[in-house]
Amino acid sequence: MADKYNLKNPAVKRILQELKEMNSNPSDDFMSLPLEENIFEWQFAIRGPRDTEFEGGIYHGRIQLPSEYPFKPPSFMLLTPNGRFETQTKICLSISNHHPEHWQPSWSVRTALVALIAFMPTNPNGALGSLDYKKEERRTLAVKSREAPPKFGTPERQKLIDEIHEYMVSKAPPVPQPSASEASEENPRNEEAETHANSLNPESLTAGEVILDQEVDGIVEEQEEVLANANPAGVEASREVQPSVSRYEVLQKSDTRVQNPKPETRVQKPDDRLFTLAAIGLTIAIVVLLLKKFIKSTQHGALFSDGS
Amino acid sequence: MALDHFEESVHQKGNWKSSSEIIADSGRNASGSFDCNICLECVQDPVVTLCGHLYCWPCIYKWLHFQSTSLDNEEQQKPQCPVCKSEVSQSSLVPLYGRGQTTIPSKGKPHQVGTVIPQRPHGPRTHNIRSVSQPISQSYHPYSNPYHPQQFNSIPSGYTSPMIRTSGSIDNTFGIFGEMIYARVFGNHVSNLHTYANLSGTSNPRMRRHLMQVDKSLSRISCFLLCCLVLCLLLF
Repeated sequence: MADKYNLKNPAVKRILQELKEMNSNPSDDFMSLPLEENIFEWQFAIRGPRDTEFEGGIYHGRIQLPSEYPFKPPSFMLLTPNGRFETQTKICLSISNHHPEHWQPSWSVRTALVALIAFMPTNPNGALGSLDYKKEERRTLAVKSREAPPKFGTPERQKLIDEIHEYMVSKAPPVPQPSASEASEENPRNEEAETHANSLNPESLTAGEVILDQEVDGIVEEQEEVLANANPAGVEASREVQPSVSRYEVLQKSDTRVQNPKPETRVQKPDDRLFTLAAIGLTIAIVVLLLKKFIKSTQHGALFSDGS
Repeated sequence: MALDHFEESVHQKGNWKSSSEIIADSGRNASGSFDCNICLECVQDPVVTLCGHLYCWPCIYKWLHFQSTSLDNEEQQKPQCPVCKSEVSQSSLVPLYGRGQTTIPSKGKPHQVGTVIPQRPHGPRTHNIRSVSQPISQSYHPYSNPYHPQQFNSIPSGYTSPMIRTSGSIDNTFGIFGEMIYARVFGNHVSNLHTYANLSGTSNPRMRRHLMQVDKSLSRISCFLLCCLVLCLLLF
């Protein structure tokens, strides 16, 4: 299987490493697999985030990785109607190729899918490829999404989609009952975001924090590592606090280091120079005294000769 | 029907696992804590940033150049660490050296065929050795000096060299020139002392205060000596 791919290509090696990692640490929230014939084409499916109108839904999509991956971002396209993103259209996110300036090479398909799950309940604000359906319509689409996977592409791709859908149906819990839906409908979106942050599940914590601190996207990678190690939420919280503290300390240390060399230069340079100057001064003084004594002796001799 | 489909899915999963196993054999890493953050493989020609994140030198070099070319068109931001987005520059990267020869694996495995990747930036230790061997050179990087692990040991070597040079220059020029000794000696020593003073690495604030006081007292002593010299000249 691996003989088909060019292992000298760094993009292929990176993608195979990601695939190995995702196979060794599978997640219940998403699943993604590449095509056999083209490793730069991936099919994925994500589960709707908890405590939202998307809960229970299974949404399929396609990822296209560029040839310069991981130095350029991939593009994402959703295939299942969901009420938040358009289907058959590349969506505009900070992790997609619409904004290559925000992409970081340390991000991966895994972090991108986690971010995509986190972006579903957010307000689209008129972004490209976004939709703003009502909650009832989104819930109806979520129920419908479990029944059958979407039809897309070649038979091989369709087979992959069916396999992913079967896996996700077995893993994801069903859509909640109408009573639960009524309770969730009463809450506004802000409280839903708070429930995201307050929930005990670390994956949901990750999703909530991605919503709250989108500027700190770098932490997503660290949290993914925490998830991979299967640490509890308490350890995760402590780890999140430490990096910011260490950054502050690093900044302080760098400031002190910048300030250090100037006073040291002032201190050492005059010290050595002063010793040298003192020695030279003394030498010159002794020489001058000797010369003056010699001159006086010659003048005295001259006076004697004039008298005689 | 269902059993056939299930067997097919198992077969496909087996294929992917076999490919991952091949990768595992080539990677040879079990822990994963010393992998590059960009290529996710065992790091080659490792460099570490000031914020502590580890990369292959070819990977981070390519990312820095890619970011600089793309950002020049838009916002001209400074290159960032891919993990924590702190500031990163090529001069601030510190190479890591392990046991064994480091040049052979880098030459044996050209990481990128298309682009030419230069050699890794030198560590702070190499820079200090160069500055000691070439005292007249004025190059000095504030970031590289704090990382020198034996900065206190370098001070005595810095102190002994100017004294030797001072005595040598005095012996050579004293017999030839008379009044010209004064200007030449002062000019030469000032330039030499300027380079040696940069090597000092005392970071303790109390030591700095003490040295400042010593500096003031020495300046007063030197003024006193100069006054004595002037008086001697006038009287005799």
